[in-house]
Amino acid sequence: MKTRILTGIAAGLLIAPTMAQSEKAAPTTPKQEQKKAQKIQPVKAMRLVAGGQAGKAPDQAELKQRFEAKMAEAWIENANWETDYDKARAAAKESGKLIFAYFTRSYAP
Amino acid sequence: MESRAFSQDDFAEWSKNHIAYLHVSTRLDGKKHEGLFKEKGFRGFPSFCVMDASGQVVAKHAGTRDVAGFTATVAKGKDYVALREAASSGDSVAKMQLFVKDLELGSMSFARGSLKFAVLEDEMPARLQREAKAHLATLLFNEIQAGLIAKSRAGMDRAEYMHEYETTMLEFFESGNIPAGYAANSVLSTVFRVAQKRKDTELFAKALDVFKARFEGDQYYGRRIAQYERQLESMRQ
Repeated sequence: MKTRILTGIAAGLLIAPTMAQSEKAAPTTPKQEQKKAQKIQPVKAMRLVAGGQAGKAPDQAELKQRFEAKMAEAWIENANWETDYDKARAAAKESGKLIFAYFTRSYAP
Repeated sequence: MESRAFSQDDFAEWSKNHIAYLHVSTRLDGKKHEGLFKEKGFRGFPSFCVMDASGQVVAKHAGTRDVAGFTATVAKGKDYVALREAASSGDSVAKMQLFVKDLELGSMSFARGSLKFAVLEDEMPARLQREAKAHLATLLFNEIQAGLIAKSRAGMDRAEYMHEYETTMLEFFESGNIPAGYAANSVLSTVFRVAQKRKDTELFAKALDVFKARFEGDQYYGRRIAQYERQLESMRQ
């Protein structure tokens, strides 16, 4: 078994260059963590990749506008969301509560 | 999604018992903690997790996007924290369980996880060994898939990409390293497709056996079993 695992490690090292490339890859997945794993098929991944390359990338001013529009959405007002990571951790430390974190994006729909 | 799940009164009430943290990836230059999404091991939007005060991810959300689902994820986070405390107090079983949990959370690379597993394996109960192997396969699967997508972004030819993707999925299948959870479907659905293309009934049948063992009774994929059975039957005719 150890031999198999070490073989696996060797395989992992062989793919290291491509793993390094993946660090630069933008998110490519469907809406949910579960669905992400189940839905990434070659064709879909290709489509997403192609979509990511097509068209002109938004500039910083446009990205800022999109961010501001996102932060103005009504649902944010419904709960006391903390948007500062450091403050969220400090609040968790002080209160003994866990952090419920929601990750979304404003740069694309 | 946001207007549904987070606009409800019960969520507003529920969030008071936690620190509700909102991270927005913006691609704005110089924005503090912009890379947090990737640092936490996420690859798709939206994503949810539970973190402790240090920012360590203690549970990832994979259930329904409502208060009941979020509550279940927080409970998993609390279990993780309790396990971590037991492990740090010297409980050797808790240490092994914690290691398997860390693999499940994707808190380490495949290479590092494999090294640690090689050290712990002999002491691990068979059930934990099985779980660790499945999570290691998932880590490897995710890393290879990310590498493939990166190559594709870098301009890899589509046909070459498809060939490499299918070959990789077949290698996972043939090696018996089927990832945990729904990632298994990515491997198995590719094997089904390849088996159909090759008219390889034996391969299709083998994949179906694994699919059944994984997804029988599953609310998403359980329904596909009958469909695959019909396909196999038609391939045999």
